[in-house]
Amino acid sequence: MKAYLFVTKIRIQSALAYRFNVISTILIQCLLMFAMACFWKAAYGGTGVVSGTGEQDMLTYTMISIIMGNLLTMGVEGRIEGSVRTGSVALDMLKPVNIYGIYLAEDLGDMAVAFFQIAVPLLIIGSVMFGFPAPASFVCFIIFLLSFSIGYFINWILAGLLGMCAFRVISMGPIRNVKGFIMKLLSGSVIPLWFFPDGFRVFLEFLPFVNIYQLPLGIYIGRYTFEEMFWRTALQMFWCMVLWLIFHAAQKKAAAAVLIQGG
Amino acid sequence: MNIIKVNHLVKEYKKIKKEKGLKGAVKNLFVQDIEYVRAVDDISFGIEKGDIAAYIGPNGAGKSTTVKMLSGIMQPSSGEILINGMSPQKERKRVVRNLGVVFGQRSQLNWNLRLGETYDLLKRIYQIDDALYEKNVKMLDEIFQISEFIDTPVRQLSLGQRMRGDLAAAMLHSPEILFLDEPTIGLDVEAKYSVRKFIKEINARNKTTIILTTHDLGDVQELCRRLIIINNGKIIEDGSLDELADRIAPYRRLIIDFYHPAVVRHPKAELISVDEARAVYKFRKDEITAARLIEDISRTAPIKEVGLQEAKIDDIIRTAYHAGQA
Amino acid sequence: MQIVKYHVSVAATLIRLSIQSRLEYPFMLIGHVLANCVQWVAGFAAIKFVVDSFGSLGGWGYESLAFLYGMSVLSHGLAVILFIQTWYMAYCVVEGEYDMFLLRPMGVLFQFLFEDFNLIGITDMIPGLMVFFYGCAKVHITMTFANISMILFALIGGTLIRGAVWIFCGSLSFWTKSTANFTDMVGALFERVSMYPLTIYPKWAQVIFTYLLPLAWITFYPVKGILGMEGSVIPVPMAAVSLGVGAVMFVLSCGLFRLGMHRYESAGS
Repeated sequence: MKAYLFVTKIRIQSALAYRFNVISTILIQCLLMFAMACFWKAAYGGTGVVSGTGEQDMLTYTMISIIMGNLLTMGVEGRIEGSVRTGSVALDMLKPVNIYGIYLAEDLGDMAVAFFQIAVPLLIIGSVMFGFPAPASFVCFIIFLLSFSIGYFINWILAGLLGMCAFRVISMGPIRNVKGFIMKLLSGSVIPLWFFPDGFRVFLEFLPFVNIYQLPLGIYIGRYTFEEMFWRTALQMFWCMVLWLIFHAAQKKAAAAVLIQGG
Repeated sequence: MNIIKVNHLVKEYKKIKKEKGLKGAVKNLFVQDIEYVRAVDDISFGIEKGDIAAYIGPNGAGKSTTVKMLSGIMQPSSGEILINGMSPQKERKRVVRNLGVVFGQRSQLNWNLRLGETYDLLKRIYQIDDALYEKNVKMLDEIFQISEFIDTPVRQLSLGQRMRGDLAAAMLHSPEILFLDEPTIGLDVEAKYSVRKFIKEINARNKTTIILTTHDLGDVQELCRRLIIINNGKIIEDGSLDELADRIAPYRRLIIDFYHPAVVRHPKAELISVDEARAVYKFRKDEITAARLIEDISRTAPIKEVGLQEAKIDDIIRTAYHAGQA
Repeated sequence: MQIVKYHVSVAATLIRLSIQSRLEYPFMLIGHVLANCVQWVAGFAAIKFVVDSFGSLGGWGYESLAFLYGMSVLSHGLAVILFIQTWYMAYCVVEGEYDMFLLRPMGVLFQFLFEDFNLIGITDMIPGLMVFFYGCAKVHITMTFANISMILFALIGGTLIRGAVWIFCGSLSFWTKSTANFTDMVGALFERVSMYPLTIYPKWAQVIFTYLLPLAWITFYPVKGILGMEGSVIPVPMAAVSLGVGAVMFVLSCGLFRLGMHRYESAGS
């Protein structure tokens, strides 16, 4: 356990070294937030509620979505790919700690840094520009936190699985683009799925991606009744478990492959 | 007439002192402790056309920094560089047209494609006309046997072949001046021989002026008439290897095998060791010749065999480095 | 003339070499084409859905939005083909990758941009063209000589503006020495400003994007001109102004790059 904590700490330290990165990230994210808010304002143009959500709620949705986006950056897939490419994967397998645990610890460290360096300033600036993005209720907020955590793991596992493709494919460029793009669209991070035509929406809501952004965000703005929240969160946990099992199996297979080929 | 002239060249860096631990990292966000380090500290020298000069020094002495400034890659903090009367900083393109540079640890060859493709590109970039190109390729083939691997993708070449490829690339446009930064690093004996042969031939055929930075003292011995030693950013020696040896380590050793064990002393030589019939003497070149020493000693005890050792170049250089530290 | 021929010949060789290099990995090409198709078509679908829900966006109806989107995608594609190397500028500064270019008797930026010509960018253009023609159809645009030239001016101008901003961002790393690469974040900003009509932003933002950071000239103003919408700022075809703005910005950013080169320190011992 100590080893993982130490790794997290080192990540925080090295990230803190890049102050320029931080300021520029905040600036650009603010701009993005601003742009999206304008987009929704223009779209709503004063009309009240569209597809079940009002303008102010959508602004909240957008703000929190962008903040979440910064917290959900995943280094793991790049790291797995990197270790395959450079061949260090064989060495990693020899270490006395679970390498994926290390990756997770690193990503959590990144998230902790992102929280203070980016999320908090964005929240403050966003509040000044558009009003504080308050959750629909305290209860909603708590459930949001739960949902966000599960969503984080789903995202992490998906990134890890993608990284594992590196064992087969070696070069990952286009796949990563597709994934990034799919995430943006299908997870409802930019445009929530409830704006999509019914057929699409129902289909997409069964996929795991929705559970990373839209579900926690939806809960936050109070779009769902308790009953809905219950079922959706259950689905989310289900996906989390399924993906975890797949990941576990993939890990084993990958380890076996490395041992056979020798890294 | 100096083809390369360096005057009071200085390169200074800002170094930010980082503190350790999490607290230090946070502190660094707000307050920074800066110190200035001189990688190159007021150096001056001149190189004549057709010279081959070795530029040596311990790691971090400032060799590569100097070469980078000479080739126009890096801006000096102050001082002047003139190559063929032009400043590489002010007239980069014109200076570079006549310059060939090879960095041992980096390659300018296109990694994915066959070696020849890079040469084709260079032909266009340097606007080498067909006749000259053919002539140079032929010459490089004679020296390096380039045609053996010109069709191989660069990523499949061995280090020795890649280095030869890079050297050839640097010569394609018949530059008057070559800067070679650690060209023999990591090469096997055969490859090193090849590179040294190249340098000697290019210099002989084309009167190419060459500055060579190296750690390999074999290179120095084989190739260089002129030696510049740099340490801590300052030049500590500048002259020929022989002059240097005479000045810093003018000792030679004489090993004598007598017919019978004997201890013979000589006023002008130090008896370092005696082991049965073998005695080793250390003496100064300028105080007595080997022949005279042998003659003198043989009068006292008959000599069976004789061996003479020159000062080892490693020792000379190391002594020079240490002198520079002081 | 001689100089132009020289540069063209070197550029052609560099392009040929990078295409050859890319062809060593054909799998990547296919992957990219697929990825891009999915991306553009789906991104467009997203707008469609939103407009279906809301009716109009910033006063622009579906047809004009389609055309606007199409133009945006095309200039994005062109910018990616020509300027994608700028995404690696920060990395190159820190790792000393410019050394090689400095040692050759040609402009560094020129060599750098053509060094790894992005064949993949062409694949970006395929779905881009699809969306563009769809948009053209929707606004029933007639392909008169005037319109075609306007479209070309707008595309060239838009591409130059994008390239200029990317070069600008990349050149900053000469001063910050950090590998912070915000070219893709800036890219996202481009999208927001060029895919949607400028009117969704408050007045002050519109002013900034028109005069200070002229991103609105990438697509918005020229498209307004082409579609004949009222509200022209000056009595000159907007598309031509775009071209002018693009050219000026490009020259300025190249100047910044050159300034930055003076500060370049190379890397390592």
